[in-house]
Amino acid sequence: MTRIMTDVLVIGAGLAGERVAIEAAAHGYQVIVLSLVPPRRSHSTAAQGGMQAALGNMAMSQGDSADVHFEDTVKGADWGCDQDVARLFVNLAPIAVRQMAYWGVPWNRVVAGPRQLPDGQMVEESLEKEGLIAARNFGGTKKWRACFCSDGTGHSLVYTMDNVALQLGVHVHDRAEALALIHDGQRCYGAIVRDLRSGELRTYVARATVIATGGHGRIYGHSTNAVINEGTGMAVALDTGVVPLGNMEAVQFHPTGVVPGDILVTEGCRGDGGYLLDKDEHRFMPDYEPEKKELASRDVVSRRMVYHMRQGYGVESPYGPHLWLDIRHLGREHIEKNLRDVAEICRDFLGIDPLHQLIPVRPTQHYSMGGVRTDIDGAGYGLAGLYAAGEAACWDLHGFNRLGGNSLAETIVMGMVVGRTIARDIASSEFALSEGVIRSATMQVEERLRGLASYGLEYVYDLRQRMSDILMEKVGVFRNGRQLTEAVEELLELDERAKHLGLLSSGRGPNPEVSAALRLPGMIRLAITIAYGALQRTESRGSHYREDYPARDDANWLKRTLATWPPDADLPHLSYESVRITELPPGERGYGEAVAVAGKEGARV
Amino acid sequence: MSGRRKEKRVMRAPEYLGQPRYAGDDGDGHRPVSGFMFQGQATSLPLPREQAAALGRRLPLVTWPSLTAAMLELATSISGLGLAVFLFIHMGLLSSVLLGAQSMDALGAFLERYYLLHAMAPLLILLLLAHVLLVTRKAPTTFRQQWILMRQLRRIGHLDTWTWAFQVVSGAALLVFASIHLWTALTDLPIEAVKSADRVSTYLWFDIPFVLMVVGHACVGLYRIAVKWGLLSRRGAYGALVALMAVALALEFAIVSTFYGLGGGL
Amino acid sequence: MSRRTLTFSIFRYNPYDPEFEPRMQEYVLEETPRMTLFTALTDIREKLDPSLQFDFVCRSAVCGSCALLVNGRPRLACRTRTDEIPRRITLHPLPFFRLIGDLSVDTGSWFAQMAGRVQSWVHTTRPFDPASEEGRMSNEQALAIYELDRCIECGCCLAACATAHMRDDFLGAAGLLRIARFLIDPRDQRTDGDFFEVVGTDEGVFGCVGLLACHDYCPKNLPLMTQLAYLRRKLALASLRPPLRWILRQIARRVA
Ligand SMILES: Cc1cc2nc3c(=O)[nH]c(=O)nc-3n(C[C@H](O)[C@H](O)[C@H](O)COP(=O)(O)OP(=O)(O)OC[C@H]3O[C@@H](n4cnc5c(N)ncnc54)[C@H](O)[C@@H]3O)c2cc1C
Ligand code: HEM
Ligand code: HEM
Ligand code: SF4
Ligand code: F3S
Ligand code: FES
Repeated sequence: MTRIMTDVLVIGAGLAGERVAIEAAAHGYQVIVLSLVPPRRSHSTAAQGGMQAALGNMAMSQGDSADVHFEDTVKGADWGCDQDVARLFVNLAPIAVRQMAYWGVPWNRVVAGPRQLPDGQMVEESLEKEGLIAARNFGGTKKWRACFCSDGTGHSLVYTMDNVALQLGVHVHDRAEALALIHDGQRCYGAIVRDLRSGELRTYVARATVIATGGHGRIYGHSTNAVINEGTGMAVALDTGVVPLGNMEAVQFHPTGVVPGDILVTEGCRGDGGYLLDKDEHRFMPDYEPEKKELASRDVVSRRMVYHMRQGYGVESPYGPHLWLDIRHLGREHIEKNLRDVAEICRDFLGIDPLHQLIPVRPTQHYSMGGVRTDIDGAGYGLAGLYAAGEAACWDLHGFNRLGGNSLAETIVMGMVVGRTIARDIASSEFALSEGVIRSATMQVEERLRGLASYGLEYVYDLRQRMSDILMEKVGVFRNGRQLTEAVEELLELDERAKHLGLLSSGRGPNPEVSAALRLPGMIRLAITIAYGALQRTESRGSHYREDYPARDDANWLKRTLATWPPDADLPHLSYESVRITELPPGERGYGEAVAVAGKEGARV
Repeated sequence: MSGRRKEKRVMRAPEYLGQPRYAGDDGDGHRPVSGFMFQGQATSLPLPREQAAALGRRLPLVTWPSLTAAMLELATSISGLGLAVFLFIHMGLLSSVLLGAQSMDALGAFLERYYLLHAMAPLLILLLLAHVLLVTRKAPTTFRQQWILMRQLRRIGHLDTWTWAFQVVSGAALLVFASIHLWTALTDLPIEAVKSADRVSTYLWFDIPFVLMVVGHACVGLYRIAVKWGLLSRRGAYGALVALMAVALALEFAIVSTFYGLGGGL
Repeated sequence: MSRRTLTFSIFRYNPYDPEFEPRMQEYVLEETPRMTLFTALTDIREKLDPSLQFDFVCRSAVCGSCALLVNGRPRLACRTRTDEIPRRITLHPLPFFRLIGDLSVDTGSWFAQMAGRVQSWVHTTRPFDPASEEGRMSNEQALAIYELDRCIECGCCLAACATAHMRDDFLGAAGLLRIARFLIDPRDQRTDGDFFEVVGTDEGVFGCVGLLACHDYCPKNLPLMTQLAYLRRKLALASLRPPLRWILRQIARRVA
């Protein structure tokens, strides 16, 4: 088996992974980045909305500062985050945005002069700020703070980041999938990797290994995430038995993903006055939320939608039940001008004309706050030499609810921090490689491959379908003790069945069935970790909502779930650590269920 | 959802299994990264001194290989443009026959008197030769290239790719047609309507394809110059092409039929 | 919406399986409402043939992974609805790029080497100062750069361009567009001469013969024709400057 040695191995070439790589390379270390796909196709590219950083250049962001950003972030997290991390983050975010500008991101800029906001208000952009980086409005923030590049913020960031990585000589090995970490229970030595071009296995030995593999959205059947976001990075960390995943039960949903395809349509649709209709074309939101109607906050609307569909009012389709979003009454001018993206998605992907037809939507998994637990420097718990960054990490900036626009900023800021930590650690640490450790990791993976070729009882896509159905139905926006217990039981049963996965096809070369079959057991274990964590957490906080415990419970639950899966255990082992509160004591969020702020969640997130 | 599957072997070897597509590709798809690597602090990223110096110094604007590439490209278009302009002047002169054989003969005599033709002809032939040499740099000359072009035409059936293929084919044909035409015209001076009429009515099977080819080639050539250099919008260039082609064809056929009539063919 | 039965004829080849000869394979699928090639191919893989290789990532036309030849035309599969095409659908992998298997090709490596060749990053001697505010730029300028930054590296322009197929070293419309993007970026200190070195050659803009298939098949509707023409004009005019200067100098010398 080919063995590749490097100083730093970054698993994942999204914004987070590449930013770590750049920082480490700039410190003079050799870096190899692995990715399932060419870096520029990573999911970060799909983020359209913006990146939060308190620059305060716009009329509507006057008075913004790191402090205000901090407050928004902590409230958004429902006090579930670490406040020292949030502080570090808000202080670095403006530098990150400016550095991206320096590297070539064409951020939209301030144009001086008066202009009218969509709600009719007039503001005057100051001449003094002309040409500085502009910002737009985003849900859950006091000030306009989301820096953006037209409708392709993530795209421009990724392309620029990859350019710099190329310039610095960072080696990217794309179409390579990390299957297991090489470790001895104390230290991480790299990863066993499958080449998705040829199907061969390779060993990467590294002094520092970084997990930056993005979210796990696709374990839910319906997710706005890219189809490669299957949480494999989190799964290989969980597989070690010693690395804990933090707050896996914290999963964010978005009310309006289109059916089929689950592409996200902006909340602006509802903000601007769109209705949600059921199968009888009845507008049901006023029945549940007489005051806010469709404009209640994201999680509330999602929950009401799911509830209504459960009552049998969903529209049946070959893709499962859904509801309708109706924007016909907003009129051609408004739709073509303010909701152009929505109109384009409808026309291109659904063949629907939103001026005259209803849009099929349903609540859809959107973001994973949980991930590989790290300290404030980005070093993973449990193994020396292991780090994590981006959506795959639980640095714990987002707590139980991520603020729109904070995740792009997190990927870059955390990338800087982790890169520097690595440079510091490598310089000061000893590295002694033991062949036995590598051999046992290799054998474990080879064993899995052999198993696939020989058993052949269960079909991977059947099990996967079943897993995502369970998650969607029982561990979705609504949770309760009974269903969570069922979910855990059913998922455990799947876990057992997944031991007997087989192949229908030859399995030769870069066979996609083999890839799926290698991923599935890990995905099922992530699913169990989510369900089990949610079952234990008997409160509602942020996006985690328990029907049987609808209130936040700071007395007992102002703490973070840490889940490890010891070898041969039947269930994940949960422990808890308290969240660090340094500045802002727990209080009212100010935009929760009771006081959802209408129209403020405008932009695409 | 229901479905079924069925197989069919294809005998054709897939075109996709070529060699690595670029120098430096070691076949495993990893990025080639040598040559522009340097190190520094990412947060301030100062360039290493040599690279910074290279940027600050003004490089010589161009080097010979790129200079010649650019000049040859210009020359290609200019040669084509020159030939097209000549064709339209030539057409204008010939249309004198529409006013009667005498006016054409008068024109012919005028050209003869001042040796305009003798002066023009060698230049023209040089231009034509230059054009042929210049365009063959880009035209598909090897069998492999022609095969690829044909495959692409069949597959995507894209209009502007077809027009280019037409340029290539009509150009090749013109090489023959134009040589014969120049030979017959220049070996039988002075120009007289009767002689021409004679030729046209005898060799009509030659003249008709010749006219079609040359008008098509010149008009499409002008269109391509316009879009390649961004002189007109796509729509505008396309409109101009159709209009120009219509006018030129009408005029040429008027001329040819007049000759044919004069030659007693009608 | 009336239900149709779709027949997919898909190019199959697995270079790593000695028993697997190149062939066209047919799959028959019932059309569902709002079906796209993404939903259809995923269904085929999950229900009919788990070995079928193809690439989707974003399935919303932003990542550029899924370009294919649909009935011979390069398109983004995720943005192709089955109700816009006939019920017999032939799918081939994108030509020009190296085949990985079935419908999957290696666009990533090609684009990475392209980025290396055109040195696709901002070249500057100015250091980054974390303490100071960002350099200013007009919004129009930012929008103009963004417009050229929109390429998603799908490879449709290369698959459509006969020139690219004929010359292996051609930078293609996407590579030339990338140069144009840095050429108009005020942060990039490269001179016209520096750019000329990279694209003023037959592998660069003068290799293009103006087939415009790139322009017509770019799924992002990028202004490729205008940009190629802009580069061609700019570089050709630049090439006239040194000889003209030389001639002028000769004349000046004669006169003096
Ligand atoms: C539709 C949508 C819109 C969004 N809009 C916004 C927004 O406007 N603002 C905002 O702040 N956030 C937004 N987000 C969230 C944000 O895009 C993501 O959180 C962020 O991009 C994650 O970046 P990342 O670098 O952590 O991971 P990713 O960009 O997902 O990258 C993961 C990388 O890991 C690689 N990888 C994965 N597994 C493996 C493995 N096993 N082996 C090797 N490589 C592997 C992948 O190939 C990929 O390169 C949005 C999310 C969605 C779904
Ligand atoms: C006699 C033999 C000829 C041959 C073999 C020939 C061949 C070609 C070819 C292959 C091209 C395409 C070049 C390219 O696009 O890169 C071309 C372009 C062109 N030809 Fe000709 N041609 C001939 C005669 C003529 C004549 C007689 C005219 C004018 C009446 C003419 C006018 C043009 C023009 C205007 C172009 C466009 C140039 C450009 O795209 O830059 N050609 N020719
Ligand atoms: C200086 C050189 C040329 C002379 C003296 C010349 C002369 C003539 C004459 C006398 C005719 C009338 C018909 C005939 O006599 O056959 C004619 C026709 C024509 N010539 Fe030319 N010609 C010249 C060059 C060209 C060139 C370079 C082209 C284009 C490639 C061209 C294209 C035509 C066409 C299309 C016709 C009309 C069709 C026909 O009658 O054959 N000529 N030319
Ligand atoms: S220029 Fe257009 S067609 Fe070419 S790669 Fe970019 S987006 Fe695709
Ligand atoms: S198709 Fe090819 S030849 Fe030029 S105009 Fe486009 S690159
Ligand atoms: S899957 Fe991303 S463009 Fe089609």
